Amino acid sequence: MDYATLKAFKPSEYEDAADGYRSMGNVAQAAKDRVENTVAAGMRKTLQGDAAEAAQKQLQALTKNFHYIQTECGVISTALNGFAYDMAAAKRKLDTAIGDAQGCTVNPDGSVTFPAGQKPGDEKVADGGTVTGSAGGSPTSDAVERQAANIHPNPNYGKAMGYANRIADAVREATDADTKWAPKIQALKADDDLTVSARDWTDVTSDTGGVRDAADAYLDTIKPPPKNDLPQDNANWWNGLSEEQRAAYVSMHPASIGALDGLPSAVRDDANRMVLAEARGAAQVEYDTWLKKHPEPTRHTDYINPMTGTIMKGVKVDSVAWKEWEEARKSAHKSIDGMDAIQNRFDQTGTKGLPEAYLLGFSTEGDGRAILANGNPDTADHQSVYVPGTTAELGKIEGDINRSVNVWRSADDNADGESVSSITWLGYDAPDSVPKDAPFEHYAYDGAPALNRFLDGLETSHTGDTAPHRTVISHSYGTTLVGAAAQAGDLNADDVVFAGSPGVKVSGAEEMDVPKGHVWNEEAEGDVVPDLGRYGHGGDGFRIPSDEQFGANQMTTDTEGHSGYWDEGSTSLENQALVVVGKGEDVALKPPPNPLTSEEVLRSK
Amino acid sequence: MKTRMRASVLAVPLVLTILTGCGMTDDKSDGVPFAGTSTSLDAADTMERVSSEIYDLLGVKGKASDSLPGVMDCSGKDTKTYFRIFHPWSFTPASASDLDEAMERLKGELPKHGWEIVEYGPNTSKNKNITLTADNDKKKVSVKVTKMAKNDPPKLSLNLVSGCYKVPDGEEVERF
Repeated sequence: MDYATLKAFKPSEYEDAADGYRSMGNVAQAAKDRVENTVAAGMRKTLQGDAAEAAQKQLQALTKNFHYIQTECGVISTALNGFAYDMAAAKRKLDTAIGDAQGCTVNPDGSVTFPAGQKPGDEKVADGGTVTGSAGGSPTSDAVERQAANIHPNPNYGKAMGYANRIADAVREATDADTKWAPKIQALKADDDLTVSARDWTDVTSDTGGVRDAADAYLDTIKPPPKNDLPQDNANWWNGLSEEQRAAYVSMHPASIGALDGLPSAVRDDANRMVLAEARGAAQVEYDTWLKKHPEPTRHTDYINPMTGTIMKGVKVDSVAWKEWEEARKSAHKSIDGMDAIQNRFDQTGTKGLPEAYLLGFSTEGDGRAILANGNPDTADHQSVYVPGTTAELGKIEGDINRSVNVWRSADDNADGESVSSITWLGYDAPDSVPKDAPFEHYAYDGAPALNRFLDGLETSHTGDTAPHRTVISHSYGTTLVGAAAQAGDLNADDVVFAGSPGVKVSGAEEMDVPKGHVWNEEAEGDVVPDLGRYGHGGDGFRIPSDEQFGANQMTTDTEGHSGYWDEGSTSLENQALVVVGKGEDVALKPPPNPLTSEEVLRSK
Repeated sequence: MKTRMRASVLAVPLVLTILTGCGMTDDKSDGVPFAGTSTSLDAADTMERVSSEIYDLLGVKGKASDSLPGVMDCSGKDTKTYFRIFHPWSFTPASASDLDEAMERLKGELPKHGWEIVEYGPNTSKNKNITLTADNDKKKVSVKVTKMAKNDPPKLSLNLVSGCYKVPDGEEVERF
């Protein structure tokens, strides 16, 4: 970088290029959405068979390519804007110095020629000359220069020196920016194959980190989201950003945008899918490393007859070492299972009418987070939010996704043409074990504020004139969290459904923040959890939603035990669906179940 | 590759016999009958045809919703290899006054077509909706019909649910 280059430099050219990459990213995003939600989903509606399956695989690979292009274009666009921003700052300094240097001549090498001049009182006119500045003055060098200027017979010398130094400073600043950005931009090169591998996504993560650090000055010009966690404030913040700022923020901070309650669901979905893709890449690399470090031990070993103590010929069993290895391997693979379950749900859009999915929250931290909607909640007439219970975690999210899918199918048909969005909300760290952790209430109180914010956010991001009808469904320990959310804050819901509740902290339906008659409870035959839990999570007098005094409508169930509440075709699920679409009067009810005697509870343990 | 056609135009009995023929006497888990070996997509197609047959029995003018079947767990069985199919759909008669007749027709016709009515009468909802539950032992399907007379518009709500299927060896259940 030299004077001539900086003088000719046009930051707007880089900003234009950044705009170009941003539009390219938008095009890739649109193409990805189209391939996924129109082409692949459309094919799934009408085509089956091996060829159709092979075509689906190719379409999924194509979707990945578009997604990768979209994500990388976002990073490149931000990098170019960041570089242009730094260069523009240097360029402005240069332009101001040149502007100030009127009366002197700035030469093509950055030196400054000053005219002849005469100090007041001097007899002779001193000759003009040329000075070359140096960048990065210190107090000492400045003092020396001031002295030299004072001594110099030509009064223009000191001024020229000042201009020349400012010019040199500007060139130095531009050189620094150039040096800082060159490797970052070099790193944005992609390999030229068509496979988007796990490594490609970990590269995206590292590219993003590099650009985020380098572009700090540019990114600092974008106001960060408010810190108060209020969904309406988040939405106002988002609405106040320009398109370029939004794109830069999503590109550099996808995880925080994805988690921001109150933002449009499509925006959160888009950001979270980037987080998912990068996390999936990182998990694969980690798993492959694990496999390298832990080679599979010999699986089969001789079977020793326990009666005779002799080796039975031809009979092989799994060795102890292999079984231990397999357990550890499964554990190392767990988060991948969860991420693949989410991806599978994306890939099923269109099959037998399944609506588009929206990933409204995702993280691999702790037990992991996954918030997944079937159908767009922002446009839905009816929203349901399902809060799973004990042992829920990212690695086992598949079952909880399926439950909401089933609620969607059942509710969608009951909605008579109105639209339904059913959401699985794993937005808290659930207890990991029934006997060890579930008796503690902190999981519920820790998670409650996040649920309240999420529900408020659904209200904020909803479009249209009529507010949606919202039902919160919860199972097991999830009911305790929902009760805690109503107790600690304001549960933003119209109906509440409890299934297999061990107690909800509050003592009555009127404390659930919904209109009278809108708390519903299901206790299936053979489910001992309610009577086990009441002494830990019950309200006053150990009261739980299954007790008559609690005041919930008791819905009929035809499933058995603690986990059958979503068995389809079953009355339990149908009743939930009727509540979701606001048809409580069609819900089949029963008298409250008789509490188990203490002997019965003990026996069940 | 095959293109799925409208359920009602397909010849039905052959496929069903293949699917359920050898499973008839097989094990029952938790009272849920074994429905045979099938992929979940094929089983869903079969279910659509069963729904279509019931539609044909209604005998009054009206419109069926376009809701499609989904996959559910088979309780107590491995969720990767066993599944059931359920199909919620509704029938809205062109004239609300035909609702009773549609329900009566089903009550009369279902038993003539292999269905056994196991329950009939008002349910325990506030609206005291009349419900009819019928099982088809041959098809391994159960249907519950709820007459929602106070719905706007009045309609029959149907819930079909299959017995437990097992996926072919080496495959996993496809969920949708």
